[in-house]
Amino acid sequence: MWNAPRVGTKPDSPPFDAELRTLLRKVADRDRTAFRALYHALRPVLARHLFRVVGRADHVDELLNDVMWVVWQNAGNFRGDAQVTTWVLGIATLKGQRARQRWHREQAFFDRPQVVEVEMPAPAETDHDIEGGLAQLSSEHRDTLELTYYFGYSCAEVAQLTGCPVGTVKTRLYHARRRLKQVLEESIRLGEAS
Amino acid sequence: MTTTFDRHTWCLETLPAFVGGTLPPHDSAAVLAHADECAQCRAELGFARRVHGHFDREWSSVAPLLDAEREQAGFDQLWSRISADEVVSPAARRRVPQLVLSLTALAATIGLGVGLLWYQNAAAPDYHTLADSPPRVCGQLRVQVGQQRPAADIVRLLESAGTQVVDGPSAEGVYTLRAANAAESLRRLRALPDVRLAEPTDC
Repeated sequence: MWNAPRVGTKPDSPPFDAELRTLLRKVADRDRTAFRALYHALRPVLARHLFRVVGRADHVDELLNDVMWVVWQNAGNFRGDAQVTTWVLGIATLKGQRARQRWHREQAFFDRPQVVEVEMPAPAETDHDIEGGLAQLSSEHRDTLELTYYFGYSCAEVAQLTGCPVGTVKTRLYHARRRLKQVLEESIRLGEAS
Repeated sequence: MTTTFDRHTWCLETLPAFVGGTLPPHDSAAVLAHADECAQCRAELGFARRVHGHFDREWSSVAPLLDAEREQAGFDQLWSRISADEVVSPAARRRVPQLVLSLTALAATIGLGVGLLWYQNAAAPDYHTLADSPPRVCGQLRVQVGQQRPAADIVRLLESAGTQVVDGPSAEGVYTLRAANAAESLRRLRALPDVRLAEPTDC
């Protein structure tokens, strides 16, 4: 699944939760090959999440390795009551927030500008309304939208990927779309009023 | 024979796959042809393209980080760190029994203290259960409905208590609800005969 060819800028398809669980169990038994596969499977989603949390690219690799180091150390403690990606992204959020706080303290102390070593593409024009609307959704709702509207999966496929019933996927999709459309309509109304 | 209604419903359901690029060419052409003559599908297509465009920009912003050589270098670096961490020094090995002893002593002390507290509380006449305290409500509720019913009936039942279903059912049949007045909705849900469990989510 995670060796699917890349199309344009679209990353590999996200891995099935069941496959990640299998890998994680092997990682708990100190299987290096499984850990390499898990690293490859999670890297795209982790890189993007960390970039979103810290807002800079120069330390994403380092933070990503910090997260995967925690995964290696704690694979045996994963209780399985959440998706593997949810668990890993939770660790990443914590690592990213701590790093950001540390940088702010250092920057204030030394009063020096941030150094961005990685050459990143110029940011494309942002759709602020969509971005604002997505920010108001739960991670489950946002992920469901991403899997359907970006990766093009059907509800049945999303259910398989996320390890939850198809009915739940449909409910999430319905509410995510409704909330997003509400935000867009409010934005249009505000624009017309001003 | 495919009716107009069928094509419209099919088009609405297919739009995410269309913008996601997973639809075969002939189906993509059919979506575009229908959207050309249907205002609702045209609006939905616009919405789908905006959502897709947002995620596409997000992924483009991290594309340089997903380079295969960069990934291999990152993994090699991580593996070196793990290997270094797992070389346990003899001094550290000698410290382990001492640590185990200390932890055992600590656990025994805590166990004794908890046991003493339990004994004192058991003897106290004015015992209060947690159920006496007001529920902690943070706006979302989790509910499990006991009887087998169609999903639409369950949603109607839950909405009758002033809630909105935002997630579920899980594999265990648990729904997540949002309520404007969570405490009031909780009270009404618990009064419904079919509701097996109604609890506020953790704050």
